[in-house]
Amino acid sequence: MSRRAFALALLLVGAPAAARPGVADLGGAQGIYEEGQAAALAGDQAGAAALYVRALAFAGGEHPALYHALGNALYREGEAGAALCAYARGQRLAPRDGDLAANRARVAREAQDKLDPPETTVSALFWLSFLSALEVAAAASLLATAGLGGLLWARARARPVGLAGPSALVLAAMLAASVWVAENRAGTTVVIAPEVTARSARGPDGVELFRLHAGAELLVADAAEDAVLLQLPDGRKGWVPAAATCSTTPGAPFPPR
Amino acid sequence: MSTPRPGALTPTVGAPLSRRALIGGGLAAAAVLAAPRPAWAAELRVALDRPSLAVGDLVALRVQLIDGRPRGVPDVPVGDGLSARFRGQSQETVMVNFQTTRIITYTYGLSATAEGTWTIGPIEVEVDGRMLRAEALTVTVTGAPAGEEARAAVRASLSDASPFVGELLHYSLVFEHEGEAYNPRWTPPELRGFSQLSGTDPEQTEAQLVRDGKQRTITEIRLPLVASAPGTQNIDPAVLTADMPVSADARTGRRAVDLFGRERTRTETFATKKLQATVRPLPEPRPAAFSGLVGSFALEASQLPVSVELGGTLTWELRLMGRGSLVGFRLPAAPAEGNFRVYDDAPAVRTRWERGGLESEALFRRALVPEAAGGLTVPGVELVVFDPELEQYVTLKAEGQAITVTPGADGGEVQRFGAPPAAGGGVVDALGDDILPAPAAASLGDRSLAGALPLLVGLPALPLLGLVGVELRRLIGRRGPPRAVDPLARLAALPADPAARLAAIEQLFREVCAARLGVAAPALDRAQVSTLGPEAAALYAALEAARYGGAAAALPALEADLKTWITARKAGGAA
Repeated sequence: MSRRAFALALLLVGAPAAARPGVADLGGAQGIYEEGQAAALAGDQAGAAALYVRALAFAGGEHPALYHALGNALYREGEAGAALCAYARGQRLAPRDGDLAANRARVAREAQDKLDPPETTVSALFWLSFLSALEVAAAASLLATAGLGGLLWARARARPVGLAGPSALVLAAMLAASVWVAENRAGTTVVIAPEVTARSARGPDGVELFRLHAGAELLVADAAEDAVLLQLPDGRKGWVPAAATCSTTPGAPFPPR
Repeated sequence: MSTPRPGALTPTVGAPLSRRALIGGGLAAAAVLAAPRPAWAAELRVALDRPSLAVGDLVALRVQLIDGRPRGVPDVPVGDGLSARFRGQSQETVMVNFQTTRIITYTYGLSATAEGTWTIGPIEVEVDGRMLRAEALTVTVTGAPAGEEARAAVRASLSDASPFVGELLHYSLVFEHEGEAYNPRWTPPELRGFSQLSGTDPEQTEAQLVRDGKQRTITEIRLPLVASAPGTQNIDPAVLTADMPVSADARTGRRAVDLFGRERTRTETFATKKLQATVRPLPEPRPAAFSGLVGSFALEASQLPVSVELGGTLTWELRLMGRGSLVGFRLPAAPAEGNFRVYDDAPAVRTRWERGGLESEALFRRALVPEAAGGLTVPGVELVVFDPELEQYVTLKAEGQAITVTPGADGGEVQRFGAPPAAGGGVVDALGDDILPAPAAASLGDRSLAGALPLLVGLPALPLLGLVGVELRRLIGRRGPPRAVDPLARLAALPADPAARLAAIEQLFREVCAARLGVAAPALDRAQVSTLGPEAAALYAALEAARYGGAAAALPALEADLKTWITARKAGGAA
């Protein structure tokens, strides 16, 4: 590949990354995070939590450290459900972070509803239990680059293609598919209201089925604009108001402070 | 033509309607149609499929609410010999004379469980603050058809009619029938005040016995339950439906069969009687250390080794078993003091049917890591449970065990996280426990997949672009015209065979001439060549002469002449 072609390809790749919206606001997230830390140090946990939630809206806000700090501030404010939600989101971004896992386990133990944690991963895709979606996607991208690079070299030099390049591409496709599964799997949600009643239908007409308390983490079976259908480990389902819950999917709007 | 005001309902008979008038009229009509009728227009109706029933019959009871919306499902009170269970609701909108009527139909399954005359209702529903009422219906329930009662019956029972809150029990449904019963299916009753035990399936058993010389089959379904709400709990009848063979002809004694010789069946419904249970609250005062477990349990602990090396790990197994629910139970935390650390595994809990009841068993594994050499007493475990058989709180104990921690071959060193050892080499006493702090100086960066997507996709796009480029270049190279070879170079590489050499010289001459004249090489003739000059005409003639007059002798001169001519043409062209 000529130098001119390489430069053109680099430009094509780099342009969308540089033009990504919000990259310029990265300093904003960092600054707000540091403001939040200062507020937490001064004992203003509610103010710190509000700042952390604000920082989430900026590019770079989707960071495990920010969710960790947000969870801690909410926990100290007595909002165990919202804290658990923040820790769970942080863990999705950093599955091997032991501190986040310990905090999440601790808050879950204190929850009133003793529910088995919902199983969201497919056992065959075991790597998703210790790698984040970003890490798996990065591995898939590198493997695809290596595989395509190998093919390019073989074709340019008129050498036999061999097995390494296609194998790397197959592996990359498999990892990319697993990322798709991870991103589209049924998410969980955490009850953040002190107590909420699950009903058989949305709105007050539904029959009261069961009661949940802050910190209960459940699978989401269905979702509407104003309500979510939660599923208990024993299979029972019930609608609760969306405002009483917090999705553990990073990127979803965090309940405002 | 005058323009109607927007929204005005002005009829324009015989004249084409303007667009604005059409829209305005449509909106007004829609508003009229969609306008809710006032609450006073709401109406409540009750309808039953049949006014008289036999014991075991199951019919549909429909409650219709017209132009109203109640808060929740209407409650249908029925007499003791009946059982009503909500099945579902539907809604329809009917339009008559531009008047819409919304009808919500609530359907209930009504089972006749005892002979007598029973009432349904009155049913009252609150709609927009106004109470609607449907008067009571009277239903006569007659006995089961002769012989039917003896042929099949269902009965329900609770393993304990007065359980304590949290106690594990089971609901049992027995279906006893003579001969065959095809496709039995049952609808569990609504078990108010009880919850189904998670993770344990209902058990079904089947037995056969001979009674009065007739073989009877007894099918029993047992549903594991946990009493959850104190007070008197009424359990509605369970309903079982099965396809029963039609009785044999009384006169001939022959079995009733259809056209294909198969036994004829009739779908029959059987209902149990209502049950009542009194769920008792746990006695007060509850011990401070009450674990929340209700049941008759036993606690066993494994024997620990008498000694362990510093740095090693001990696993202490505690087994809790008995009649009761252990779902969600965790061991109480070990005391913080002591020269050891404790890690509890998630317990393995299972509940299974044993000896006609439910037996639960939980295995807890507690890992102990000594932190100092010397004597160590592993603290015992005490669990306060409520035993419903003894009707009192019982303390289960697993005694503590003493072990010796030896320094080990390399002196033994336990890696500690958190605070480093104090200057004196001792361990800092723990004062409390808290959540772990967030990183003090984190450098935020987008860790989301969406943020990194351009780079992730762009990186493999580089070699992909290169690959596409290589393939395109190859494709274009294959399709393009053959690269022209320098005529002088071709002249220098002529074949050795005289005939082939002459043919190559002629081909070269023709190609050079054709290129000059812009015509196809095979179509050249003498006249066209002569336009290129006398040298070209002479060469043409010499080539023809060589072709017909012997090539070998003329070849060197021809080659030299052609070379001279090509060189001269090239020089002329360059000039």
